Amino acid sequence: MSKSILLIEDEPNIVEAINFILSRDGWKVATHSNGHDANQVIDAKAPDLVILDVMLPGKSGFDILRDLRGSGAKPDTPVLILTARGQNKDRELAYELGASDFMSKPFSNAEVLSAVRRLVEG
Amino acid sequence: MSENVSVGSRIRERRVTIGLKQADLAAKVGISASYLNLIEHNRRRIAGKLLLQLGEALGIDPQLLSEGAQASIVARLRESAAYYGETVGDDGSAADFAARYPAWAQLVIDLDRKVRQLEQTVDGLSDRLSHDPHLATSLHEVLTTVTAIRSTSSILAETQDIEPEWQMRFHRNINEDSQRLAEEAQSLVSYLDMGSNDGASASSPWDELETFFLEHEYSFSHLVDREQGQSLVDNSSLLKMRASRMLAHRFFNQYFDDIAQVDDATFTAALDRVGQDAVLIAAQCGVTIPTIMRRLAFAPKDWLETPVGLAVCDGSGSFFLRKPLAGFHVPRFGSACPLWPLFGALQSPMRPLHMTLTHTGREGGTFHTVAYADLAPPAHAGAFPMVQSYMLITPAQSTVAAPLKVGAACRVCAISGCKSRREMSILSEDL
Repeated sequence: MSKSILLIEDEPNIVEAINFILSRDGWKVATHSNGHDANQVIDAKAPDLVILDVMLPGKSGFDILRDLRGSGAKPDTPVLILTARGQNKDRELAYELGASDFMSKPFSNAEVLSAVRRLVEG
Repeated sequence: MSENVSVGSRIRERRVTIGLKQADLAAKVGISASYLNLIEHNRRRIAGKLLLQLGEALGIDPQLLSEGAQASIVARLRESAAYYGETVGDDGSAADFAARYPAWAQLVIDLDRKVRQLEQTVDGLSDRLSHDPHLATSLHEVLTTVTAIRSTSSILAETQDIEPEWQMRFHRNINEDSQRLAEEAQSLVSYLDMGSNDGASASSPWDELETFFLEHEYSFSHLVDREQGQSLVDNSSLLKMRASRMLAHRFFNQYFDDIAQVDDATFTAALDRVGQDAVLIAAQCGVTIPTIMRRLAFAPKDWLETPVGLAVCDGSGSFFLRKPLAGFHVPRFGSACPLWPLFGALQSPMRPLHMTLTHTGREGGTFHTVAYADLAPPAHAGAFPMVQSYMLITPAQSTVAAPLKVGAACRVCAISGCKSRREMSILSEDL
């Protein structure tokens, strides 16, 4: 059975591109575009990996990650943070909050694929 | 010639240069003309307070009078060296350099001054890059759009057997994102070009929104429904930035929500009954006070007996809505007067605060204000409630015993002895 990925990103063209490359690579991809209820969606879908943008409407990716690690149904779910905020302090914060990996925008499709394979398949 | 001999001569030389009579200079510093004559002919020593007074009256640094220009240059050369970490002892080299090459010495001093000014400019720009929220948002938008273009174009370039419908879709996406990127880049360049120029230019989405409001005189009563509001925004040449258009769309959503709660007929009937009392109208109509404050602020002028101004800020004190009123200046860039009830209301949310103020700004005036801080539910579990504070401002129709004196912002306020003052005013030395 395909491993599943939940992509939480509000920029529709980025969603479409990432969804395309991951689906072609054999992953089952679900998407969600706002932060308000992102934690509930993560709990409901129980993906094998969450790809999480930071700047989301309603709730930031950092807060979503904090809540996932604190009280989520599956707190150990691997999380790949994607963000245009690529400064060291953002990277440090992401890892402090429990991110599995951190990628600054703009990134290449190959980098995303490589990170996904590594985080899910080991 | 001894140092003190030179002082008198320098005083005379300076007085003659600026065309001041001996008797007039003497009168300015409170001595007799004959005594000044003795000083100028180096027959009397002077120092201390009289030297300072003469320097002030002659418009010259007293040090230049007492030591001469060369001594002053030497002192500045030593100070410059120390600033850059160079140790320059009292070996006379600085004095020798200044004496032998006075023009080069002056050039060194001028270059030092220029370097320090440029350092300040760089610090200011760095600070702006780090802390300017509009710049941060714009850069984020640019990076996000570039990411979309990069991902999409990689797919098109590297996928051998891409289906035609996907190909078309991705071409369309690249086209959209390219246009967005061009707009964002243009907006960013314009914003960075603004620099220190005229304050009337829009430099942020909020500025563009306020220009849009001003153009329409803060009244949109001719719009029938939300769709007309959205169309007005989308077709406005004043809302160039995407962020400005988003703010305007959000405004019109709120605007028509307010009308849905209190329609024009109900609102004007309430105005006829009780006047422009926002608290009373809200109670009678069964809506929140901010709803009526917004209705008042954006009502057509001919509905109101007196003009109204409105200021709205969030819990950090940052303004996100300003409707100006003549005489009551609301600063453009944060940091308003802490005495305003707008901020007092933040400490007592959900309780109207009525105050009469005298604004001591350039135009000034006395105003009635009512402030009210509204609470919104927390953004997520565990967060504290969000607060927005509103202050409605109207010219005072009657006088009260002791209106509170307030300014626009500490930096341009001349009120002395204010315990809430945050920084020195450029209008006085009071702190």
